[in-house]
Amino acid sequence: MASSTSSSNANERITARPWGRLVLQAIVSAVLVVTVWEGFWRAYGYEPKLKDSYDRWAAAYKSLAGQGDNAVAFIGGSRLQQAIDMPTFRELNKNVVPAQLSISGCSPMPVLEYLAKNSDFHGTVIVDVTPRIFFSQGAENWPPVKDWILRLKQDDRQEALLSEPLFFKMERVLANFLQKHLISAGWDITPKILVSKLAKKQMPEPAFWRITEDRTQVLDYSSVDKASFAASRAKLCAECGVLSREQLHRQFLRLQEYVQTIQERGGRVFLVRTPSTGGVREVEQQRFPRQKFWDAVAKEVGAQAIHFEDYPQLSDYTCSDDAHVDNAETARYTAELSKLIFKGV
Amino acid sequence: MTFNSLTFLLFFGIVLGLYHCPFSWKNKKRMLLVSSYLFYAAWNPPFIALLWLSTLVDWVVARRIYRAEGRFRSFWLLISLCTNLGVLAYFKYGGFLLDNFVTAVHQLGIDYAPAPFDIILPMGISFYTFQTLSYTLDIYWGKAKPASSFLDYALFVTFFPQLVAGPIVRAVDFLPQCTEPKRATGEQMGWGLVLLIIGLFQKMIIADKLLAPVVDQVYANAGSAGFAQAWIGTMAFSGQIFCDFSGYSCCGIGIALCLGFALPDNFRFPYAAVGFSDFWRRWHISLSSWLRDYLYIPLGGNRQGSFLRGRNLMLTMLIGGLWHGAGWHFVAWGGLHGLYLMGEAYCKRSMGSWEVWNSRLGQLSLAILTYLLVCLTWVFFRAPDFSTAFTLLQSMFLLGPVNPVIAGRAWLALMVVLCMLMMHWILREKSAEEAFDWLPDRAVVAALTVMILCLTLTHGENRGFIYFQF
Repeated sequence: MASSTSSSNANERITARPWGRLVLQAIVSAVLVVTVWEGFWRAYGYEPKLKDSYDRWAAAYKSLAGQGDNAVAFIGGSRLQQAIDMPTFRELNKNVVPAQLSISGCSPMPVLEYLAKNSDFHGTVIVDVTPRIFFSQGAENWPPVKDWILRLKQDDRQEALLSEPLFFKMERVLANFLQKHLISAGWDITPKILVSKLAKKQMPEPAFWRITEDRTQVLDYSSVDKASFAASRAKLCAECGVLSREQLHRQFLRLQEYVQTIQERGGRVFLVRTPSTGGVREVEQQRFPRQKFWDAVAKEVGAQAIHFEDYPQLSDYTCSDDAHVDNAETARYTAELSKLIFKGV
Repeated sequence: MTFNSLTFLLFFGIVLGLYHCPFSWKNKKRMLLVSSYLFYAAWNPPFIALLWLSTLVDWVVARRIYRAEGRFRSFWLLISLCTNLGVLAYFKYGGFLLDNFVTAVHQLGIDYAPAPFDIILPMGISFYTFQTLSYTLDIYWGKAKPASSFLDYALFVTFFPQLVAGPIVRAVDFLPQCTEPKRATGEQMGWGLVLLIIGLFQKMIIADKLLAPVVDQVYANAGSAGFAQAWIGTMAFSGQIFCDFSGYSCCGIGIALCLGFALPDNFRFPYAAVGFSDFWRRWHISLSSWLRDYLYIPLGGNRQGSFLRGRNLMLTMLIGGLWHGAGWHFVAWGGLHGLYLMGEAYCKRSMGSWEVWNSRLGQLSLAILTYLLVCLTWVFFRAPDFSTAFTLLQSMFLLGPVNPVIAGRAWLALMVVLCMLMMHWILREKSAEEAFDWLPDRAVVAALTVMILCLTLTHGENRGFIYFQF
């Protein structure tokens, strides 16, 4: 839009209006609204939380650049994002650079495809095989993974043009600072969430999960009815569409291609089935029988496969919602999985 | 760093604070120059050397041109042209030229596989190169004198509000502003902040949050886009690129105003253009005026008959397309605009006297037609390759798949674009300041408060500006 700038005298076209006062009033009003917003939601039980945004995920991906064989990428959904305790992993494997690239509710396939097609990547990939996502129809299109991959493709090209590591790091430091101190800088409660809840005549509740700076997911069930939550997990599993035999075969072929591509570059790929219990496990066993799904993918794809049922050290874990390893046990799970991956399956 | 970032807010706060300290005018300019280099270094520090090269070469060359006579003036101009265009050609078009050369020799059956041309494109090179070229050309043509102060000239080249993505500033507009101390009045600062808020709102909320996801979805799945999706996706892109680029320009102009400097207009409600000449007087004005003054007019403009006028228009637009990027789809975009301009010239000669075109309805019809035809060019601009572009164009002309499904988000994007088009039409003869004239103060404060709250409470991901890649 036009501006007051077609001559060197910037005052010539600015209309006679107290713009300084108006802007100041707008800023003060906005600060007041944000202050009230912060105060209200804190009193309601909300706390500042880090955002699991594309920027954070892309930063994790980019941390693997140039790491060669030492790069370790965790890809999949919330089960792996929850189960892996990154500080423990780093402590036990000081010579590797891990990145948590799992995205809650998303299939690992688009990320695996991107890693395979990225000729620079030849590290280790740990692929989360959650049955209701991995063997489910349309899972690869569940947001936001495809959007994030698209943006990463654009950014990868622009990064080659821009090369702005200093700015990127500075931005992350500032964003983390704000998100750690302000609810309004986070994701848990936004005007959009508030409006959509009110439209259903409900009040919003703080989410029972949060992420850490390295994208580890942390679940807090203290405010959640675990039984009904577990039931809802089982229901999700019971209602998802299962890949047909032909679709499964096509998926295996693609998976095989990506795995082989990474392996030919010197990388390694592990398929991992994290623990599930109770009602969720029952439904998974019914809808995704091991022989037809897990065993088939383990046999055909050529990657090393680690199913929790096959390893006692990976089996005995508490999953409060029947689907995710409890916070108290993720360090142990991480240590045991790490030993298998780096000291031999 | 981008304007829509926390780092920039911190940076600008510090620069503004230092600018208002009781330093001498010369020291303030030095501070602005250093800040501009720091701003650029946030992208890639080594490329400051290229900025220096362009600055120094044209500083020296311009003074030589001014003092020289006869053929020596042309010689010095040639140095400037070769340096600036050479650097641009190498960094921006080197890979493109090599790829096309390899394709051509392969067609001849010669087996040639050179090493990959892996060159990083320095940020803003297309902009500051044109800016310094305009300086030397103005001096060569006697329209300007060389700057008396190297500090002023260096600041002209690197001034951070416009360094990376324009507006492309002319020395005759900027240098006189450096002679006297500049400090924004309360109204200038206020209006500058208003422009900054509006620019950020256009970019972060309208372009990134509302329109970009729809565009990305359609263009990533071009093969399955039906008639409606193809048009909605492309219209959404027309909105996205406008809000993204005009948002950036708005921010740059506002930031400069906060420092007391005036930058030129870059957009003037372009989607209300009646015809393509009008469009290019409203879209990326600083580039189109540069191309007109330094390419189209020197080629002969419209002074040599219809055929040569057509040639000059086409050449100018093809180069304009190529300026945007090293890709044949950008050339196609420019070429299509060239065809449109030629077609418009022909239509004006044969049908321009018809009264119907002067009526309100006639003008509106032409504006809608102009907008729809511009949308067709945006397909080439946005699509990653010709195959995707032609697939979408087929769908836009009902030759693609039948897919009547339109997601809720796409409807919202369409509503946003239609509101934008209406706003452009209503405000087409006004400036931004005049656009606020009819609003009482309370409404202005409310609108600004809502925009600030949207930026604060509904912040999304930090997407780069589209024009940073050019």
